[in-house]
Amino acid sequence: MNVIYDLIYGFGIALQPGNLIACFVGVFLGTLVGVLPGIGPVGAMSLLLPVTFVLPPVNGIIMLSGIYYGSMYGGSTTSILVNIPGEAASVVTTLDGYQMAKRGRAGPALGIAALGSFIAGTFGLVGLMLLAGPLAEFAVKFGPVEYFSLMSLGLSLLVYLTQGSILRGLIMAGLGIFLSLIGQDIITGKARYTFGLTGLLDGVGLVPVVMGLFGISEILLNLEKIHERNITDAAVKNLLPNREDWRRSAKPIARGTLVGFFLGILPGGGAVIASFVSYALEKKFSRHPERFGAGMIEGVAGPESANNAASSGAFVPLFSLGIPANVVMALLLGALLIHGVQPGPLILTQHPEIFWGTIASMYIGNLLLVVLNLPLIGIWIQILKVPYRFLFPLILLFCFIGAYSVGSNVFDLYVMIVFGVAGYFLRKWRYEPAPLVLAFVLGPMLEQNLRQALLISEGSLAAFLTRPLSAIALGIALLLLFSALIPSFQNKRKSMIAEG
Amino acid sequence: MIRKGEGVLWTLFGLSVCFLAGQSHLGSFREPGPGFVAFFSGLLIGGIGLVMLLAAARATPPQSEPPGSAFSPRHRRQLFFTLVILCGYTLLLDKLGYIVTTLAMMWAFFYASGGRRWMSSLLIAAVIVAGTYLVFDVWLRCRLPRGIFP
Repeated sequence: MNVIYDLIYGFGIALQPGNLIACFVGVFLGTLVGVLPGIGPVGAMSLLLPVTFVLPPVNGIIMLSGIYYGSMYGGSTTSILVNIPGEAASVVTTLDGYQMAKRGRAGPALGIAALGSFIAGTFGLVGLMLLAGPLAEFAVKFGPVEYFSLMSLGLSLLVYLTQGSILRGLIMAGLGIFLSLIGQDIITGKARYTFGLTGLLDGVGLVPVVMGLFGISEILLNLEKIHERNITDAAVKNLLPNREDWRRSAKPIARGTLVGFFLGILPGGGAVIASFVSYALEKKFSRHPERFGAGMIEGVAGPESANNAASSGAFVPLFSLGIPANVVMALLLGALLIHGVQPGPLILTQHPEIFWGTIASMYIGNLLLVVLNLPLIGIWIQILKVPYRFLFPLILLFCFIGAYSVGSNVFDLYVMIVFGVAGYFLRKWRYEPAPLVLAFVLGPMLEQNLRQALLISEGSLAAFLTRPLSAIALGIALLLLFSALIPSFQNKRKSMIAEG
Repeated sequence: MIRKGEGVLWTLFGLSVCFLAGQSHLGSFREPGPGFVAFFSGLLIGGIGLVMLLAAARATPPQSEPPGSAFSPRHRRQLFFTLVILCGYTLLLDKLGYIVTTLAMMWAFFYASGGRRWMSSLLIAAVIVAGTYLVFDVWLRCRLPRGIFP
């Protein structure tokens, strides 16, 4: 019953004009970056992060969250109409969505993607509401030992699920931790690894790092590709799916919601994996798996529902434990910390307006997205027709404005360029930037908790093994990493990642 | 396919991190110092670098360059051009201000990629500068650099 009272309180916050506008701006921009290939939710969120500094925290978090789940909706539009996924979680939608569009069924494909996303997003929020509270109450008992072990598990899972070599993923995680330690030591205040540069005294900024690794490097990589967009000529009509479409999509939506939500909660999981797992699941459940890839509506309904449910699920560990499940959540954690809000078990008692306000705004946002995605489809198609050569200078400019406005400091722009070039070469050599960013955000918390735990235990490592939760988390983390060295597990991991 | 060069690079990098961590006081398990965690991250990087080096030494060298590492002269020029503009923009931003430097950067990009029509490139660049200035500086108060303007 308390949950209902809290939700009503949340709606009271979310329906305030400022928060309503923030929600609208967030989902609108989210849809836009989802539609446009080349700038994903991470880039858009880092761009708008400095803008949120002038807003109250609840306002800013509502807007940033809106960008995240909004991009999940928008991503399907490009996948279906252009065969280019707007962002990674919509890659799988291209398989059947584009085929449906080619057969003149773009309308129902877009319709089921939007409505399935709405249903899954809404049910995902119910799950978030019911799970985050009890988990937060349980997490109050956690000490630095548990936090260190849980963060290590999250990082290991992300490295394990990263595309390509696990060794490269581990290198990225180590690099991210080291970079996060640059600047003043949290306990002694002593400057570390600054090489005499005053710009590094406060550490390397999150926004320039993310902008460089995800924004600039993406543009540099895209400059090498020829961007041909074969936007389907068929007019987009009959957006509402018919009775048969609904009959075929109902179960994929339900399965996608469940799978997506629970994979979203898992550290290192998230929307991308959820969408692929859902697609594989639908293919397994189907009586005609051979027809997948040729325009099956189940192949659109399931993954699109899964990626939206996952985006709700990812908020559970962030709000209840203060541990981000993926890079987007890491960025949101950064935003909360900049606003002086410590996410974790105490957020429910110390900042209920942020927790319940954000949840309620997500209900409103999901509704707004259906309104934005269905009737405004024509506008999104027109935006898709803008050539990439005109888009990339604009995206670059937004990256510069975003990085500069964090501290009105040109030094941050150099940092961004350095990380942009580094990101370009790293991605060319198949190093995924996601573990680096997650480790970069978790690094200071990892350090603080490890040092605290060792001080409390007087240097004994046994504390990490005698506390059950810590022992389990570290055990799983080690098992995952070592299993990647065993050939049979290696093959299993490769096929899992290839499927996903 | 892991290359020997990668292994060498990360081993050296990891060792450098360990050295830097040692310089900033490692401490002990009982009382970890500012370099404690960095030392272990260096150890992780260096250790994996060493594993990569050994793995690359044992593997047979690839017949052809793996996909993704191809680098045509045209791409190299385009990449170099973009990076020069980005660095130039960063260097001049504080001195000349947002309006002048952004106008020049946008013009250069549109001129180079939009069929070398300087007038239309300039017009589009001017519209973008005006729009972004109004949104970010005037409306959102992001305090973009003034430069030569008072």
